[in-house]
Amino acid sequence: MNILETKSLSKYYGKARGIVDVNLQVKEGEIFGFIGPNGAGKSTTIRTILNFIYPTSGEAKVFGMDCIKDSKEIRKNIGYLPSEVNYYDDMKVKELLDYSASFYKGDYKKRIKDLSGKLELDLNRYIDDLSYGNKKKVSIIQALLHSPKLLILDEPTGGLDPLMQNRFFEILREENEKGATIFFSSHILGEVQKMCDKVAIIKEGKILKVENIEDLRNNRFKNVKIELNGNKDMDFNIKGVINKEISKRNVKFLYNGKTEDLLKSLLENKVHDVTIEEPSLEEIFMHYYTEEVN
Amino acid sequence: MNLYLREINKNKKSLMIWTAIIVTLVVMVMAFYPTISAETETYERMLESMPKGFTAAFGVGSLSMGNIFGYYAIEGYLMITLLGSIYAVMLASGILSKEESDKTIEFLLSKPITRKEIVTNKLLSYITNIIILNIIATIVLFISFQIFKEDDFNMKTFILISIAPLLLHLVFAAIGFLVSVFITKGKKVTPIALGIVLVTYFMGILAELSDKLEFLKYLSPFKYFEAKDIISNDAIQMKYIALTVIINLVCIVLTYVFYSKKDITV
Repeated sequence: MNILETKSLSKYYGKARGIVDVNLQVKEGEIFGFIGPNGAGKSTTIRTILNFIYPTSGEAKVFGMDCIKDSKEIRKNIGYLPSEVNYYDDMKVKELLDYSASFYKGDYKKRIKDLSGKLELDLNRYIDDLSYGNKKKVSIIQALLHSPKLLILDEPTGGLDPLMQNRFFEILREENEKGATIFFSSHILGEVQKMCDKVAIIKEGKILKVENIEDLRNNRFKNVKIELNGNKDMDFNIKGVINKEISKRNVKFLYNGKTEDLLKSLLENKVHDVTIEEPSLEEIFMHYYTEEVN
Repeated sequence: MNLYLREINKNKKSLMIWTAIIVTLVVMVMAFYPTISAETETYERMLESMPKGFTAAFGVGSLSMGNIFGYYAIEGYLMITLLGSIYAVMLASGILSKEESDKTIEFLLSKPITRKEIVTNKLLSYITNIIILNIIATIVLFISFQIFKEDDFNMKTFILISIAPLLLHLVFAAIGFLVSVFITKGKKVTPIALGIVLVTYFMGILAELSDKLEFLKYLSPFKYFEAKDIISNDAIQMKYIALTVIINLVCIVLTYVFYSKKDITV
């Protein structure tokens, strides 16, 4: 069953493009990555699903229910972690979390204690006095405390130090093992690769591609820069070379083939220096983008 | 219910401050009544020497300072009508829009609560606050009437003169509530809300000054509940009560409609 499904979902702000024809299907138990640069439409998609804003056309369904008509029912089982964290300036952490819990049936005292323990968050401070990272922790706890069936995370790791990121990912995996579906929006490919089963790539409001993370793993893009020994011509026409640029002694390309082949070819040619690095997300997008156009 | 309680709790400090200010001013004014009523003639001659527009602006008209109602109408009534209206309009215009300007609405809307429920809880919360302010003000006013009175006073008139400000506050609150659905950015709400109260207040004065501008009295809720009318007729006019009900209904219904349909982005 699809936990989350959008059909030709579009949103325009006046004439400005929000999202165009977004089709997504997230299955129960999946950790679904939603990746794209800033302004691509990630938050717009999420806000439409949560009915903060109304779609211009198309529809979104969560748990098989309409995102506008059944919004309240849907939100009983959603945990939402916004990209920007803003809370009431007169509240302490504990008050905010109790207030959040008061919207759901049941007692969440123990759960709040557990989660704040894991994330090392002091419950007795005013939220306003917290650092950005600590505010983010408050946000994480309010999203998780009622053990929602669907977690919607919008750029969730901003502000968290690496240790806390790992704890957070651990918590997410536990929730996922207990059955929660996770919709994970981010502009950092690395963290999506680490967490997700499937990933949708969005650019300029449109979904470019939906891929299994396994496939993306096999498509391991590398940025390769080579400096040659002399001014001699060199061919790097091995399979997997994309967007090759040659300038004097320097060759630069995106590589998406077998590592073995690349290394062999490097050995055969006399190279002075070589840099192999993770490409920026933008570069991978450009690849998908040009592919799409072609 | 949790949202209602949260709003009551959040707004109680400002309720206490505004109530304290209004009540203190009313008591101070009433404390001068015995002195002034003893020298009514002097004061009335002084009032007569003032330009007609000036006395009209203060709603003096045919009232006498020698009577406790007349005195209160001239000197004290404005405290609770004008200040109370400012309180009411600021409270009601901030109660929805603050969630958006403080960007806390994303939190609230991600919880299982409909937009209609949000409006209902906030509506009930501002009404509660305004009622509390008026009840306390009425009690204090009653006690100061009892302490400073020279003769017995008509209870019906007292009740009318105490209900009128409540109705006035509810009118301004409803207008502020509706306006705040459209103006949510930053710090614009408060000046606009205050502007509504002050502009309509001066419209009321203009309506008094010139016959040609008399129609303005319908645009100024202050004129619906003028002390001199209530005291001299011993009633609040039906047409004004009808206007009060209509303005409240229209503003509140439109608030529900527009708030439910609008895109909420922070």
